[in-house]
Amino acid sequence: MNFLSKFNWIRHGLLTIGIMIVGTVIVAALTAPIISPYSPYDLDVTMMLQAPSADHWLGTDELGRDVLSRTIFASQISIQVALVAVSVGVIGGTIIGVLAAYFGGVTDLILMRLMELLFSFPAILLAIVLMASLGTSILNAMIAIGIIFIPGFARLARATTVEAMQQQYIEAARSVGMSHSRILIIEIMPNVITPLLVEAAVAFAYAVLLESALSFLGLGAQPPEPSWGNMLNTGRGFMAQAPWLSIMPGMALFFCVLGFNLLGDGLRDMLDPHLRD
Amino acid sequence: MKIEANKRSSTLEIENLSVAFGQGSKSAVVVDNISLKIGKGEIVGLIGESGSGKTVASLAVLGMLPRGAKVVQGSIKLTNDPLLERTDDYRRSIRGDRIALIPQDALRSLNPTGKVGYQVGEPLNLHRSASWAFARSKAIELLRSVNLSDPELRSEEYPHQFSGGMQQRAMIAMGLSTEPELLIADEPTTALDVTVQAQVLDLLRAVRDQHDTSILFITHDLGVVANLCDRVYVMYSGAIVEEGPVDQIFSNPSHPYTQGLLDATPRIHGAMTGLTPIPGQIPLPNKRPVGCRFSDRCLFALPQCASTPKPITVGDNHISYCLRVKELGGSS
Amino acid sequence: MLRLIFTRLALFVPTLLAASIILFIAINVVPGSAARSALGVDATPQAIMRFEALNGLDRPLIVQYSDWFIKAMQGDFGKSFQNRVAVGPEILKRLPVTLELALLAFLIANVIALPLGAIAAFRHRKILDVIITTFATILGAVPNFWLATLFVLLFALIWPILPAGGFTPFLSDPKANLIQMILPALSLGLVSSSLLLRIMRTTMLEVLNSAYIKTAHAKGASERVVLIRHALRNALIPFFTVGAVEFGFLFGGVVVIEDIFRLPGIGSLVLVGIINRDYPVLLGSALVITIVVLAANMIVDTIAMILDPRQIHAGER
Repeated sequence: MNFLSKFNWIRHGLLTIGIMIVGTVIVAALTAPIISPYSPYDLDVTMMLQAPSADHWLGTDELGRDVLSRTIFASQISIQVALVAVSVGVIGGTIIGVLAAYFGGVTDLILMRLMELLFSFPAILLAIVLMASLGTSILNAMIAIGIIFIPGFARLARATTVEAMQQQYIEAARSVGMSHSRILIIEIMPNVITPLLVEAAVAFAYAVLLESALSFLGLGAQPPEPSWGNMLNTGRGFMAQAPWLSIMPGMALFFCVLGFNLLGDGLRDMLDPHLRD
Repeated sequence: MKIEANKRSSTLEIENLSVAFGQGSKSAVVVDNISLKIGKGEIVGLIGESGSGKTVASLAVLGMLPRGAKVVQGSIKLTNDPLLERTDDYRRSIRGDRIALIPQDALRSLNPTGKVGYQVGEPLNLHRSASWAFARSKAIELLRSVNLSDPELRSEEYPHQFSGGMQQRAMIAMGLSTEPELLIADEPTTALDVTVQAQVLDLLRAVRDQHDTSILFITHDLGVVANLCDRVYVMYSGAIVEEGPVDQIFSNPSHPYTQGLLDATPRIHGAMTGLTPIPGQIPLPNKRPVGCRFSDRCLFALPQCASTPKPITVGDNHISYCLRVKELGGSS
Repeated sequence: MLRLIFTRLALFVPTLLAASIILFIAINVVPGSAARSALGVDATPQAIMRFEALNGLDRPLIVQYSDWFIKAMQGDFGKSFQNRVAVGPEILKRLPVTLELALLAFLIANVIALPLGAIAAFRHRKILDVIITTFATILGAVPNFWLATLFVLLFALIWPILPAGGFTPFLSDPKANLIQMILPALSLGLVSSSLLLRIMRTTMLEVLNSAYIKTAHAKGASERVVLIRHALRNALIPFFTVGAVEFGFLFGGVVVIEDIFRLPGIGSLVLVGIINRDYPVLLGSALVITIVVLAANMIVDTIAMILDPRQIHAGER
């Protein structure tokens, strides 16, 4: 706990806020069945489009479902999608990045040019085109979003691998003391972990954003599964009668994205002072 | 002769100047009670290692102290004009007009996206409301005067198309554009190779001879000082430890620090004897020894060196702040 | 400089080729999905074969691709599976809508990002910097489609001063067109400005700490002259270089924004394509958006190069 006691929570205020927001979202996702006042699926035709009240704090939707409960449950989908997508990005990106760095030369050039190109694609467009073939479902949204993250992580993996190979070379030339595993753990890992965590936090925020956008367009989470995106999509049809449908899920989405962004920024500031401005 | 001129009118007169970074208990006095004079047409060297406070002192003269630093006492007069009593706007208006700065790294100090001629002539536009056409023609003249060949063509080029020596000459031309009373040259030759260095020094000397410009030459390089300066101030850890005419400083260095610097300097003329660097490092502003701040590195330090050093006249205009100067007998 | 621009143009061709291949592969990740998704899950094998033969989908992928790409480059994007209408003219009709939206959004984003980013850097760590940075951080977390929804709620329903959607061509009624474009362009531009603002702040900070800015101060230039004459151009070079890559990010938003405001652009055509599983429509509209993004990237990147004399001369020698 030395780390915690040394950590200056006030100096890293933004990181602290980020951790608190992200923590709240994760706890909400894990405990959704317990903390939700109602089931997110139970219809009640007598309670359609009710404004926020003591019974339904955030009101009800067009089928009489409790908006608060659906908003809480929707965090599950967001976290799930982000987790899977970021994992796909990390694994795919690492494989490509390491291959590019290891083989170098033409392989490196082609792979990285390709990654650069993918990077400049409008992400959501690529996701939509991918989903045309994969089919529109939440699982496919996860995969499509994950593929979008591959270039970013590939770039990272390549840079760190190149660095690692140079370090091993130096060590080998010196050929003293340290074993490869110790070099890896002591010298290279900290260098890899820092940018990886930062990149992952930012990717997490982006994944949540993209999932909600796809769901908003009806291409991600399918009803009756609650997702912030498809709740907002539903809200579009009832803007005049039930504006709360367009506000609450958006708020939740905004705070979730903000939390992960702050987490990424804060981590970068804390772990890599060079990048601080 | 220059020294006598100095007595009549000083271009720059710094008295008891102190500059501190930060505030309250955390503040660090980087320039500590220094006094310095430059007569008209005089070239004065300010020597010290990095961290001695020489650059901060020059920034105080320019009125360009970095954020967090401020003058805590003293006065700075530019030809009897008390600068520290003036407004920021006034001080800006004399910067680049009556005082010009020639910085260390000419390439980095030139705007990479501006044509050289435009940059050289800019002070005229800023201070003399000169039109750009006039500033440009003046810039060509100035570039010619600093021995740049093809100044018409060169003035249309960008800094990266210049060699290091040409960049530095362009910086000097820029400094001369308004014929300032005072040129502050902050290690202008460190980045250059020896032959180019000599050309730049010749140029500075010619500038003084032609325009009677006063020059404050900041450096850590004693060899350059010997070649160029009339008088020298040696600065150590924020304070001046010795001052005097350049020949006396070299023939009769009267502070152990100056002696150490001389021993650590390769002589331009004469054989390279074994260099002996001064052991240890400049102390941080908050960790200076009491009294003489060189005492913790000084081979001759005694218990009484813990008292505040006083000026001791060693020769004509030659002052040392070493308590033991008389018994150590100057040259070691 | 001309040579520089030609080099960039020459680079554009392989990039476009690679981009089209990526799109084609993406849409064919699952083999045979075109027919199955167009005809539904319970289509008979015969129906699928007939459909594939009719649309040339029974040929090898590489043949399909080159056929599609060569025709696409001549403006022929094939016919819609859905209604057999030629896709090319439809795209051409919709292109101006999307271009206008993107251009306006890009302008708004830059008009906000450039001055605010520069001011934040100029007032580094002071209260104005904190306010601007906070504003950018918050804006950066707002989903553009939610902002659009809130705008509609606020300015079309609660306080109805602007239309909630629809489109009038600029040439038939410029005023109506611009009024309709305010909310869409603002939703897209505001959100995108956050990222550009942060880039501008960082690059400007770097410039302001440079030695040549110190020279400008030493010359006695006022803060305004330092900023405008010396800092701005130097900060814009890295800003445009980095910003060019982020352009795709902005452009992705057109799909959602066009959908919300019922703008008949290419973004909404993408949606029509995916919802109807109409591969020629989807592929054609996606390719055109990609071309626009790549071209915009290239233009912005070229501006950065033109601003930088070091690069221009490097090209000449």
